[in-house]
Amino acid sequence: MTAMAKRAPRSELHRKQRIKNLAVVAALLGMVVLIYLITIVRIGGA
Amino acid sequence: MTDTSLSLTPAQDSASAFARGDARVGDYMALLKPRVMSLVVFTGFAGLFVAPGSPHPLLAAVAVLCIAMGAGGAGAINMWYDRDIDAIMERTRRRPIPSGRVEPAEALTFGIILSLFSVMLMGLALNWAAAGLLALANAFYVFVYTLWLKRRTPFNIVIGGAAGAFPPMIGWAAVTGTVGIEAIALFAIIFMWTPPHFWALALYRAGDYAAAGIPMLPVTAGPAVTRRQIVLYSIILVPLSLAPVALGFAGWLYGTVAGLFGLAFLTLAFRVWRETGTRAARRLFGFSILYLFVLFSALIAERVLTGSPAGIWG
Repeated sequence: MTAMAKRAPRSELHRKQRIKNLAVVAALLGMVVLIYLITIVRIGGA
Repeated sequence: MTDTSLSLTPAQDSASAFARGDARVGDYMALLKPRVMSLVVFTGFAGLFVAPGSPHPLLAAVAVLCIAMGAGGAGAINMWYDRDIDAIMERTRRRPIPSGRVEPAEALTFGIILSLFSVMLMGLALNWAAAGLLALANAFYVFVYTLWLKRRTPFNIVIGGAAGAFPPMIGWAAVTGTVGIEAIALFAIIFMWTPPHFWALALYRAGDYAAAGIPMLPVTAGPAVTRRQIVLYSIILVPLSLAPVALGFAGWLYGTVAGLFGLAFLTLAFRVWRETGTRAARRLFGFSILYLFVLFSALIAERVLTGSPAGIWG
C-alpha cells in the first residue's frame, strides 16, 4: 500500500477550503509581484 | 429517516450552506458586481486614454486595476449592507450573501480590504489626486448612496449616481494629476445618464422595489412622473454629450456618434413617455448601456485615429 493510499480521504469542505487558500496565496503573490514591478517602473523614472 | 433540509429556516439554510464551504471563487467575483464594474472600468479607461500625457503602460494598467478593485470593493460592501432587501427582490435574491454562499462578515471584510488596497495602490503607483478621487467615489457610493440615500429618497440615484460618474475623472487624474474641465465634462455626461438609465429599469421592476421598501421614483411618484423625468434628463443629456467637442478634446467622429446615438436615446425616451407598458422602458434600459459604451468608445477611437494628445500608447 502506498503512502498516498494510507492518507485519510479529504472531506469536500477541506477540498473547498484548500482551493480558497490557494486563491488567497495567488492573490498575495500577485500583489507582491505587482508592487515590485511598480517600484521598478517608478525608480526608472517613468 | 428525516430530511433536515425541509425543516431549515432560510437563516439556518444560509448558515449551513456557508458551513459546507459552498463559496466558490465565482461567488467572490459576483460580490464585485462584474456587470456594473465593466462599465466603470471602461469609462475609467476612456478617461485615462484621452487625457493628455503618457504614463508607462504598466502604470496605466495598474490605474485601471485600481478603479476595478475600488468599484468591486464598494459593490461588495453594498451587497453586505443590502443583504436584507437583496433577499426580497427577485433580481438580487440569488446573490452570494442572500443565497447563503458567502457569510456577510466575510463579504464586508473582502470589500473593505479591496477598497483600501485600491486607494493605497493608486496613490503609490500613480498619484494621490487620483487616489483621493477613488477614495471619494468609494465613500460616496457606500456612505452617501448605500447607507443614506437608497432607502430614504426617490432621488437616491440622482445624487448617489455621482459615484458611478467618477471613473473617467479618476482615469484623467491618474495621468495628469489634476481634475480639468474635460474630466468634469465626462463626469457630467455619466451623471446625467444615470437617472434615465436606472428609472427605465425601475419602471419595469417597480414591484420588486416596492416589496423591498426602496423608494424608487416609480414606487413613490408613479410611472407617469418617472416617464416625464426620464425625458427631461434625456433632453439635458444629449446636448451635454457634445461637451467634449465644444471643449476641443473630441472631434467630428465623436460628435457624429454622440449626435446620432443621442437622437436614438431621445427617441426611446419619448417612447417611454408615450407608452404605458414596460416594453419601451426595457428597450431604453438596454440601449442606455450600449449608448454609454459607444460614446466612450468613440472618444477612444478618435484619439487612436488622430493620435493627439499623446495618450498612453503615444
